[in-house]
Amino acid sequence: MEYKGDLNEAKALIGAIDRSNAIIEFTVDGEIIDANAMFLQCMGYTIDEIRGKHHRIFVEPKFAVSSQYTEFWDMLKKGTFCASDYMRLAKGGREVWLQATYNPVLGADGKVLKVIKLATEVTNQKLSSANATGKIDAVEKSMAVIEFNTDGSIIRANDLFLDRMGYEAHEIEGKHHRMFVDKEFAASQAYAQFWADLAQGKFNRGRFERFDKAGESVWLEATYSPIFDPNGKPVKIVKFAYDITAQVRQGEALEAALAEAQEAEKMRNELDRAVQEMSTPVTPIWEGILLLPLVGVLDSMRTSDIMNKSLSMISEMRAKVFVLDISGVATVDTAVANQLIKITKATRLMGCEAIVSGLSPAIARTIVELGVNVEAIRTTATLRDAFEKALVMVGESLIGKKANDTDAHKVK
Amino acid sequence: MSVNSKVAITKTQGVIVVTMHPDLDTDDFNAMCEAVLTQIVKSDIKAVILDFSAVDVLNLTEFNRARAFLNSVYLLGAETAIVSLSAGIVVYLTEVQAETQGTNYFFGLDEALQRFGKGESG
Repeated sequence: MEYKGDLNEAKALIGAIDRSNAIIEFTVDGEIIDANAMFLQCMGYTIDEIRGKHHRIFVEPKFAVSSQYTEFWDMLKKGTFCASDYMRLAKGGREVWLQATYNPVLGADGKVLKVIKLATEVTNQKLSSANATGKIDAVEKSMAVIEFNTDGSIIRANDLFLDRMGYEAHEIEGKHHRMFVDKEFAASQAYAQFWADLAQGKFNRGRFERFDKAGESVWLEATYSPIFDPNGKPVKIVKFAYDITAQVRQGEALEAALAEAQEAEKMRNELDRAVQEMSTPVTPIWEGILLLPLVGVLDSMRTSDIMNKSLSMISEMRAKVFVLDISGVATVDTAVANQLIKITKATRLMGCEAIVSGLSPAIARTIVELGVNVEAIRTTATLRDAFEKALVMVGESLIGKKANDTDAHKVK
Repeated sequence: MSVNSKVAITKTQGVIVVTMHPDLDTDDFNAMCEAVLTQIVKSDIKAVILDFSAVDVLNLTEFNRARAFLNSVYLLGAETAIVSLSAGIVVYLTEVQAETQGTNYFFGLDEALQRFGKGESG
């Protein structure tokens, strides 16, 4: 651009540039001629400290002796314009980043008279950018990353993503995200809403099931993060993901095992309950009469169950007579006899009379020989006798009972 | 008739019904005993019924105390009964081998009154 204004305008223009830029002038050999206030403030020097010194005071000593640095000044001497972000050293060795242009000033003969450097300090932006870049690099190295346009078409994916999903970059770029989901979901309203929300800038995170190139299920713990332009408009979506397929499979296996264990536990409980029910079949056989036919071996746990079940049934049915038939009990020893006495005593405390039926002659002798207090229990030889007696106790009687029936049972 | 708020004593059909309450202390129990025994001596009482329907927990000492009182009642010529013992109390008394002879037991008050109330043979 060639300036065509008058001298006053030129001075005003130079003043404006001077106020808004850090400016320093060098000889073609790099010696400092002058610098403006902004440059001096930026670098922490006074003009007297730098005037006449070489530009190399602003660069690292190693760089100052390098061929690269020599070439840099050779180019300027030849009139080549240079512009870039430069790291320079301020007073005391403080690093300063300058976005600068080195402008050779040519004389009427076309030779370079001097070099003017116009600069803006960008240290903070540079550090911030480096910080962000470092973070992005770290994420890219540790996570699967894929970027989409807001319509779901794929911009790029990193190597981790490509490796996990089994694709080459060219196989996915430009295609839609739906290539990673099953067809049914891709056609659903939920999927359309998923992308509509992202396009509106809504963040999404969770566990997502996706499918790799071979069609195998892949579980990703992922975030879909909309990226906004300076006006706040979403311009793309970045997905950061971890592969959690192994954990999900492990969880599924664990859940299946747990469900199996719970089912087995349930079955076992039902079986236990059924066995318990079968082992203590307290049955109402008449109004006010309960019958418990005992079969098998009696131990303390079963006797305890019998007592609890019997008392509950007596309470529930308001039974007046409880018939305990032991004709199916294999052996009656002292412990069993005492348990039977306990049950009869307990039923009596509930206001219910107990009759123990089904005593064989051998068991009767055994009970006597064991020294059990037989006064405390009401017994009959057969269940029929017990039932007949129970009917009498509740105010009923058997019609058609033979007159010469002998009462073989003993009633206390 | 009531000795205090913890013991309700009711006379019906010639029978005294004592409604036992939980946590009855010795003084209250003794006051109840005295009131019931005095009543037996003064009037024609056929039976005394201790109703435990409001008692969920009963230890052996409390049970023996009640039985001793009923033995006193028996000596004064009245029948005795304990009604509405819960299944839990019954199991406990059986396990601790409590002495339970010497009185009558009924499932509920109705059965006891049916047995001992006026007009019944007892």
